[in-house]
Amino acid sequence: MTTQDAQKESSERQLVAAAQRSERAAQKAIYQLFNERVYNLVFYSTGDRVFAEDLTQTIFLKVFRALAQFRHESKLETWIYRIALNECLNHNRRAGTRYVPLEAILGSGDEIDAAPLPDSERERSQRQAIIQQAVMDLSPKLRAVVVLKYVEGLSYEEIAQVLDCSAGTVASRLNRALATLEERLRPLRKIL
Amino acid sequence: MRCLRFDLWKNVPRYVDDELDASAVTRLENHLLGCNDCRARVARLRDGQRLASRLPRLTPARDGWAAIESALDWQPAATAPTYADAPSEFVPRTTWRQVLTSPYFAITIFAIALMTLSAAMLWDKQKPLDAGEVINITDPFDSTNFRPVLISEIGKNTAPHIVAEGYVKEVKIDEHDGDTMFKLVEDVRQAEPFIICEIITPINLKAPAVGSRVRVYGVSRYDAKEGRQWHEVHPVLNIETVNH
Repeated sequence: MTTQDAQKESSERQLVAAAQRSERAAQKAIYQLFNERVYNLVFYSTGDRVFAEDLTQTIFLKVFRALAQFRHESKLETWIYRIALNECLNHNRRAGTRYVPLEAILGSGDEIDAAPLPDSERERSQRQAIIQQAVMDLSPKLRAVVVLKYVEGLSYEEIAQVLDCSAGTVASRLNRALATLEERLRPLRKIL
Repeated sequence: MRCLRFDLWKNVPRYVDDELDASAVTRLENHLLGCNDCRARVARLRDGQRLASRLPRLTPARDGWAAIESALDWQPAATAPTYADAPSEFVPRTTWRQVLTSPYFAITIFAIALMTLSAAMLWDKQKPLDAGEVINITDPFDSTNFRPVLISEIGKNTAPHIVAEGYVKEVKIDEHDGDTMFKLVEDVRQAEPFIICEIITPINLKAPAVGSRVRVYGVSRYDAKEGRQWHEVHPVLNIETVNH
C-alpha cells in the first residue's frame, strides 16, 4: 500500500466514524462523494433518469441506516455499490426485465448512413445514445460489469468484490458483454 | 482454424483492458503471432471496449440531499453504546454468587421486568393499523420547519419542506418502484387539484384510509416525467389524520 493509499484509507475511516455518529456534515460528504457514481449505476440498471434519482435517494437512506454495521471489511465504495446493486436487482425483479428490440438500436437499413459524419456535439450525443441503448439491451449481469468497468473505472478485482464473485467471472462476463456489443453494433461501425 | 487454447482466451479481456501481468502478456502475444483466430478475437473485444468506453457519465438533474436529510431527521439513528465501549475500570470484579445474592440483582430484575412491560405496551400502541383505522403518530415529530401549502397553490411553492392538508382520494402501489402512493385532493368529490404523496420503503408509514382527511408532511418536488408531470410530496415524512 502506498503512502497516498494509506492516507486515503485513514481519511475514509475518519469520515465513516463521523457519519456513524450521525454527524450530518460527514453524511453529506459521503453523499457528495458517491452520489454521481451510484446514480450512474442505477441509471444504467433501470434506464430511467427521473426514477434513477428517486432510487438513488432510497439507496443513500439505506446506506446511512446501515452504516453502523460497516466494519471496513471492504472499501466504503465497494460496500455502497453492493447496496446499490441489490436495490437495483430488487427493482428489476419487481418491474420485470426490460427488453429493447434490436431494431430500436440499429434502425432500418435505410436509416443507416455509412458516410462519415461531421464531428459535432449533436452527433456525438447521438452516437452515445446508440451505444447506450445497446448496453441497455445487455442482461443486467453483463450491464453491471460494463458500467462498473467503463463508467466507474473499477479494476477486475474491485468489480469482483462488489459482485461477490471471482475476477475470472468478471473477465468472462466482460468477454461476453464486449463481444455482444461489437456484434450488435458492427453494422454501425463506420459511424460509431 | 478455430483455436483451442482456452487457457489463453480467458486472458483476452484483461489484455485489451491493460490489466494483465507482464509474463501473461508475453505468452499471449507470442501466441497471437501465429493464431488468426485469437487475433480476430482480440480485435472484436478491442472494438467492444472502444464502444463501451464511450458510455456517457451522467449527472443527476437535481440534488437529492435535502430529501435524504429530511428523512434522516425524521428518524435519527440509534446510538446505543456497545459493551466494548465501556471502560474496563468500571466493570466490578465480582463472583456469580455475590451477584445473585446482591440486593442490586433483585432491583435490576425488577427494573428489567418493568421496562419489558412498558416496551410491550408501547409496541402494542405502535403495531401496524388495519385499513380504515385512524393513524396516531406517537413518535415526537418536529413539524415546525414545514411550510403549510394549499393543494391548489402547490405550483407557487418554493419551500423544500411542506405540509398539505386534504382528503385521500385513492391509494395504490406504484407499479414502477413498488412504493405506496396516494392522491391528496381538496374536495373529495373533485379529482383536481391534487398532490401525489409517495411513501418510500425505508420510511414505512402506513397509508391512510381513502376518504380520510389528513395532513401530509414531506419534501415538495415536481415529477417532470412524461405521463406524470404532477406535484408530489416525496418522500412523505409524517401523516396526521385530521378526521376519518
